Amino acid sequence: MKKIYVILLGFGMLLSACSKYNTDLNEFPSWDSDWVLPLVKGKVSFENIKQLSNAKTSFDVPSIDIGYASGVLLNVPQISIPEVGPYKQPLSDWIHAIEFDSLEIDLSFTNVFPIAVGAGTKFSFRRTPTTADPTNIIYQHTVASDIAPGQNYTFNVDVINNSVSDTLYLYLEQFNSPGGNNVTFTPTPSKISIEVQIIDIKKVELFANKFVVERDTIDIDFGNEDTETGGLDTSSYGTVNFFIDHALPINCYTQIYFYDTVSNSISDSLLSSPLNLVGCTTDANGDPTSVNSSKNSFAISTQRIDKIKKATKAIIVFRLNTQGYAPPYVMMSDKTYLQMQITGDLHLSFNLNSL
Amino acid sequence: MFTKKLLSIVAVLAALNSTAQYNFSQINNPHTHNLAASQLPSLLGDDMRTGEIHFLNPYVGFGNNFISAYDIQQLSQSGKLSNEYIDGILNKIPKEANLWAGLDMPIFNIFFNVNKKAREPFLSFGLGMRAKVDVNFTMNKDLFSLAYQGNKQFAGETVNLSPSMNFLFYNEYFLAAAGQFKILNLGKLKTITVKPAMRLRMLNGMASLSMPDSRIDMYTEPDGRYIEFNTQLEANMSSSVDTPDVESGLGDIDLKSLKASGKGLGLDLGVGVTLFENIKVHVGITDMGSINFNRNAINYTKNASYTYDGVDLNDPENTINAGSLDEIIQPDKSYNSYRMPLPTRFILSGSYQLKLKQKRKVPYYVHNMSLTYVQGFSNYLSSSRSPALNMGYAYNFKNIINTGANFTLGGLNKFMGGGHLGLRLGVIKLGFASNNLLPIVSAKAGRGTDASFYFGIYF
Repeated sequence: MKKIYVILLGFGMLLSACSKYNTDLNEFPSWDSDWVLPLVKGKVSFENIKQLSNAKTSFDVPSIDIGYASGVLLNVPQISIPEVGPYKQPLSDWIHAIEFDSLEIDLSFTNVFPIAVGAGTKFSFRRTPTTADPTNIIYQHTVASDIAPGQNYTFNVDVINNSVSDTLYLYLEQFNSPGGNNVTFTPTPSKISIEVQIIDIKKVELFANKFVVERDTIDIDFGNEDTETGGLDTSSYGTVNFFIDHALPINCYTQIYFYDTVSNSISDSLLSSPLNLVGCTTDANGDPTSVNSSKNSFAISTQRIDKIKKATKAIIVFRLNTQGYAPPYVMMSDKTYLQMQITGDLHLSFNLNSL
Repeated sequence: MFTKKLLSIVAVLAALNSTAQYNFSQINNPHTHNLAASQLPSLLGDDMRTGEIHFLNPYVGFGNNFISAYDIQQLSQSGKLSNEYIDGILNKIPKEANLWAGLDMPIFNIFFNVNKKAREPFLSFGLGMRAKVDVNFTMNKDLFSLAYQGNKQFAGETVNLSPSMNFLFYNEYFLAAAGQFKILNLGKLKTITVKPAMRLRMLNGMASLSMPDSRIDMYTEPDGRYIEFNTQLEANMSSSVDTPDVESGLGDIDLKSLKASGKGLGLDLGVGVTLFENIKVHVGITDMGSINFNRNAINYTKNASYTYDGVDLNDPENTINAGSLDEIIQPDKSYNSYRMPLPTRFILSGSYQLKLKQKRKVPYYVHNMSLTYVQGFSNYLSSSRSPALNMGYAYNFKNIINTGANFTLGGLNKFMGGGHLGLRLGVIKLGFASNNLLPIVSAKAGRGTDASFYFGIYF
């Protein structure tokens, strides 16, 4: 009963007041607000710079390497060869030597020989060009079963806690084959493709006076699929701040482009001119002894925001060099990095009537 | 259409004022002093020969301190929501916007006097039961400012964005007592009388929502390099039936299991001093005590922090560190008892009365003027940190008709004006009152109103 009384009283008051304060809004104001916000951030280390940390190579293994000429009909007996190779893979022309926590190796071998490659054959990665030194083995993979003629054989492995100089040496060791009668080796060689990715470094020795341009494309989504302004008024404006903590012993020139996949063109660049970042100095262990922090600000307008919002990809361009460092080597440890953050100091004006 | 209705409802809520948390008219009307003893204990025993019985004397009120009926009317008349209008509203909103609603329902109250010889008042007693519902919702102005003006204004500052809500519904059984002692007798009309009084209340908590901690602190680094949120939240809830939590609905409530979910004690203390018969000063502290809710109790707590420093390009699967964000949102749940204090207030009231008369052996004054000051200690339930000062006048016609007006300054509202009309018809006492009738004549004063009604038997 008590509840009913309260409900009736409240309802009556609401009804009477609703009739008194009859409101019909037909015009809304612009919504002007000022925001200081972190927008995006990213961290770049040696491992993220593909130009330095990733190497792909293909080797031809002609039949002559296992002792047989091509184009001749042969009876091949069972064979066993202590070593075939080496096949050299330079990691990067920037790297003199590297100690790593983790190194990923992808290997693909296509056997175009008319004979099988026998089980027990080993793919050996060595840091020096000799099989006589048991301590120079980085990784050794033993083939478990015969690789038939025409068969593609692959493996992937993470090697941990090792080191390598500027070149990897690949051997086929204890190469064996059951042989075959009336076979002809073609001039087309068997092929080994290798991709080496440094996952996690401990320490790298870079050559001084090197230069490269690194380019990376990433997908971006501002959550506004129709690319309309969402009522954003043309009086919106702001400043974009670019904060960089540079602790890589590499000089960088940075620019970010926004790419519109609809028009297949670069719609804008974030920076009016590339950032010029001077590399840090490092000690004998490669650890940074200084961090070069910088802040750059760029004005931005509604028109520019609209243009950027239409972009679905960002192209990040780094121009990297080790020019100016004392030769021969620049030391660089896993404690080096380049950290970026973009913030906005934005005045946003929304026209609520257009929403 | 929806906007229109919504604004209309907001207008009504705005028109109901939270200063009405205190029923001043009950103090201004001598006929209701026994009922008013729940607000000022030393009023117990006034205007009574032998005894009084009261049935169902409701007092209801709603209110807020951040928007008025006039504000809504302005919006309605202009037909447009302008920046100037919103700026004006924002400027008027206090740091802590407060919305309050309450019901005070004395269900059955008996009051009686034990007099000395020659009907000289000596001891007064009261007992009965009462139901009380209070709810208040506070919002920080900074939350509105953030939404409307952005966070740049708070760069380098920590601001609390959390709203807070408290709700308390309880029944009480009370026993009140007051004694009058003459400490100085200067002659027939020149005495000083002291009347200490107390009300002891046994409280049965029926339902509550308590938020002793409600902080969502936001810090914006001056350059906008990061925004940090720290939450310190505690919400306790309990009800006589199985307490619905955030994951359940109201459908499974078993009314047969209705039983108090908390027990507590309350205490009101006061003392009145009468100088020269017609000058009275009362001091009181009311609503001391608390209720311990130990049945169907649910507690939600969260102490966490989250820092947003940009979309992480290195972690495309978790660009905004959603794990930490989820951590700050998801509360920890427990089932422990909790204590909910009553909204303690301090009251100082004085009255000056003229033209003493007597009817049926009950003395009364024709002209009654009063001044009452109320101070709460927090914006919590019916208590408000904003002090209120009420001035009232009541005219007593042959102790049959008592009517008067009162005005209130301060409090959550800046200005209120109300009135009362009471009748004493034989053994019947009845009347009604409101502490703010000004909205009827002026929307500018339309911060709200309240209403009360009383009916009792006098003997």
